[in-house]
Amino acid sequence: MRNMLQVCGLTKTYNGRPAVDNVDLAIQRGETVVLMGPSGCGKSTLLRCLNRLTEPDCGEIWFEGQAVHRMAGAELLAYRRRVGFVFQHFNLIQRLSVVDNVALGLVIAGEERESALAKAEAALARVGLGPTVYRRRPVELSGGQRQRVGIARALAGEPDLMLWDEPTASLDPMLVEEVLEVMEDLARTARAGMLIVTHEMSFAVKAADRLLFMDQGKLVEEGRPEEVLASPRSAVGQRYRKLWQKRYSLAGHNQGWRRILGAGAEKGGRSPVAL
Amino acid sequence: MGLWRSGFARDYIILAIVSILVCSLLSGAVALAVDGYLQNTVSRLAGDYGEYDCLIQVRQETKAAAAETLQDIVQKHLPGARFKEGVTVAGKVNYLFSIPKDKENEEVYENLRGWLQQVPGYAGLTYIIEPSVTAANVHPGVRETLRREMTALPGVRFVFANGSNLIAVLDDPLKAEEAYDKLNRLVERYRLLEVRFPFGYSLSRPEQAALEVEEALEHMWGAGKAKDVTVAEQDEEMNSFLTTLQEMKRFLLSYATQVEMELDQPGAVIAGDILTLRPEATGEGGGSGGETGDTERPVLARVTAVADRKATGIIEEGDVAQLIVAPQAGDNEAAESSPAQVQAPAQAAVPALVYSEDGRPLGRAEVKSERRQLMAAIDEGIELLGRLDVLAEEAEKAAAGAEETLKLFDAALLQLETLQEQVRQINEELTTKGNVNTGELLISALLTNLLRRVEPESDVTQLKDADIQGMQKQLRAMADQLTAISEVDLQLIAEELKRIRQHLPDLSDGEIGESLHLIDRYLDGQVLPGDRLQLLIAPEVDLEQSAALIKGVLEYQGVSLFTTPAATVSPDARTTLFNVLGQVRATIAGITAAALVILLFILDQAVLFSTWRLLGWRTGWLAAGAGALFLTAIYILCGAAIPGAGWPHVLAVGAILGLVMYWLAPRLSPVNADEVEAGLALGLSTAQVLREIVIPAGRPGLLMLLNRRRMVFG
Repeated sequence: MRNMLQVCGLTKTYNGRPAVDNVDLAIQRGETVVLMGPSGCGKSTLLRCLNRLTEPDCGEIWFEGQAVHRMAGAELLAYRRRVGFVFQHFNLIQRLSVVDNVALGLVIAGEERESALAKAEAALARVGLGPTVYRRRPVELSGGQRQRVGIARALAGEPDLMLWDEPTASLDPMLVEEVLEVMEDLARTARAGMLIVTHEMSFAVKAADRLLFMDQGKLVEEGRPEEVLASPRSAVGQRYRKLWQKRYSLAGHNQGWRRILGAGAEKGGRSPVAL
Repeated sequence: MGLWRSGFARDYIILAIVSILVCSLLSGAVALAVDGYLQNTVSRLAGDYGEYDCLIQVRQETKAAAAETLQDIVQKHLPGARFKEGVTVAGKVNYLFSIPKDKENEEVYENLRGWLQQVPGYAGLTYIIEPSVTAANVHPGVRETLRREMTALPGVRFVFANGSNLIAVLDDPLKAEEAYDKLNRLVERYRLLEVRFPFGYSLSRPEQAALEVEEALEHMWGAGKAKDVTVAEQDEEMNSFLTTLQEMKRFLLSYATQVEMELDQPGAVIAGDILTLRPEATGEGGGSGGETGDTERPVLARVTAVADRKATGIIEEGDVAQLIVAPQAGDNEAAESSPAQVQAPAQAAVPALVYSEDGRPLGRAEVKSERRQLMAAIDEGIELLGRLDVLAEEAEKAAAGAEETLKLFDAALLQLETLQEQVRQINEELTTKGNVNTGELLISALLTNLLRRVEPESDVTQLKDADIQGMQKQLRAMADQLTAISEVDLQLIAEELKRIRQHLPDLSDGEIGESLHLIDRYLDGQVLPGDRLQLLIAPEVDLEQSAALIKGVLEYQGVSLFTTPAATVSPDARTTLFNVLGQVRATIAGITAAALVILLFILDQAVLFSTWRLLGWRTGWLAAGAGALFLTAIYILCGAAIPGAGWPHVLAVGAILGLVMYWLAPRLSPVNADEVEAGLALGLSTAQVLREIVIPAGRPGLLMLLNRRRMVFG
């Protein structure tokens, strides 16, 4: 299958220290890729480089055959419109209502206002937000609702690729679930490719087609979640495996774990992993 | 930069134009409002243009009487003139005075000040004749020439002198500017060259020197290019005052009590030190010797000179009387009689002990008071004169008695001679007689012995030789002298001496010291000018080229040369005032422009600078350029002109302002980085991010106002 996104040798340094170090990456349309790694290992930087919110120092980014790394002006803006970005801190525009926040990108892209609003409402409905919140300001929403607006905004433009930068990291644990549910739903149903940076291992196991581990700016390991977690080769992978084992053995969730794997198998047809 | 290509450049240009226009209009309006207010105030105070000719200031308390006298002056000298009371400022009433047109001439204006002298409480006169032009501070050497030339200028009705000013009254207000220019050109033909000699240098023949310099300059630059106008009138009063002060200082110094110190150690004091003097008896904690004038207050002396272990000084506080030990007891009468300085004995030197200010003993001193000795000498002189009259009378009597005695003595001597002769004759008769008895022999021997004792060197013979006549003559001459003395009015001399005694300055030593100190302080800041020469020179006479020549002619290299205008031209008071008001207006416009630019930057530009900095664009130069552009453009358009600030200054200030605003922008107008990032991620261009996200969230201003029409979600 042809890769929708192809990254070769991507590097970004800050003060001489590589944040992203010679990363190669490929994502196919409809594929859900989860990127994990310790804090500060360069996950967010990699994500921001992919839509050029941060300019990489070198390397190539190809999106459906187009050289993103060479794009400028309108071409770059058009590319960004095809890439939905979900931020850790929601990044909603405070002066705009919920529906305007979602419709803004569409209108700017040239969509008629009415049509844009209709699409925005549809996107909001898709993340479980009804008309009661449309005219509210972001400040009037809960954290979970705000992040769902953020997701709706990314979805509204019907992107080919969605980049998620730790979407649940800023949320109260009680609200994480409601966002994860949306994410899982999208992972199952959306046709867009997804690169999700998260620490939610359960989500990765349940929803990811592929799991990547990153450490000190480098991609150190990748593979199907059950395979990577079953026999990790990298130190980071081994740490995540231990963490996973500890969390579920303490909770006595062995059955639950198998069930989760089973659920994951529903999408990708994968078989449970024996741990 | 994508921002400019994305249509923001046009937005920014529109913003810049609108901002500059609005701010220029605002600055101009503020300045014009101030200008208008001030002009109205002037018109209210000084009447309309040409309505009044002068302002007469009178003390407020004499207002009523002054008005009456002014009315009298009008009736007597200027029928048809009118005056009205104007504003009162600082206790002085200003009367606006108008002279009828037919009475306006130089004679009236030059006499007006004299007439006004009789106005009770008169405090000054200011001419506000309109239209007029004034040549101020006209040098006396050019005054008459300039007056003639001013009178000959077209449009000038007449010229009158007002102190060192020449005021040309004009025909037509519309030609005032032209007359001002012409007078300026006229005055520019005269420059005053001053050749100043340093203080203490005196020219033996200044007139000759000035003439030689004039000739040398004419030789160098051409005939008529230099003219000697040396006058001594300027600063004459000040010179006299300073000379008087110096003489006063010399007088007081000769009068001041001198302290001669013998120090225990060399270098213990330096000139300028203040030392304490104590009486010898009480100085070393004693007090055994007796009471002093005033032991509570210290006697302080300032050291004026030091040489090894010797130092001299003058008393700065206290009096030498405090150092004199009074008789211990039983002489209360003397102690109570009069002030210390009068009763104190006229000792040639009063001994004292010297201490430092912190009480360390330094040595001994002798305090010599010339003043005190002079007073004592006068006192004794007066006393002597009182006795001289009696003395002369007694001496005259004594001389008369002596002369009488001499006469008796002379008669006695004659009788003695006669007796001697008779004895000699008897003796001769006895010795020549043939038969003499023993008795006769004895008498003869006795007489012979007696005559031998008398002659030739006996006392009687010597008495005979005494110049009795000469002695009598001398005694008569002495008597005549004594008579002459008694005829002299000794009483008058005594009275005069008493008067001098009374009028001698009654100052303590401390007061004299303080006076000297004050004079020194004043003279310190003053320079007594030396001789100087003044020449009127033509504009083409170059000072640098002439300097060597002048120094050569004067054979003195220490002269200072400088030139000044021979006069300063200024328009009439109202025009001058309006010129000043114009400058005020322009300055206010400049200040307002700067304030508005700051406001503009805070409200509009800061948000842009803040966004640029957030996006990591290095646009400090752009901010500096924007600052320079905005301030300079507004400055020019609103007609601002701050004295001393040219275009380069305004540009520089604008650029600095822009940079400061750029630096402060994130604090003045913070931008939500998350929102900007979201906008960019949604595919908005930087211009769209500014329009839709940044500017609407910024401070309300022109930028926000102009941005509204471009917003999608307004």
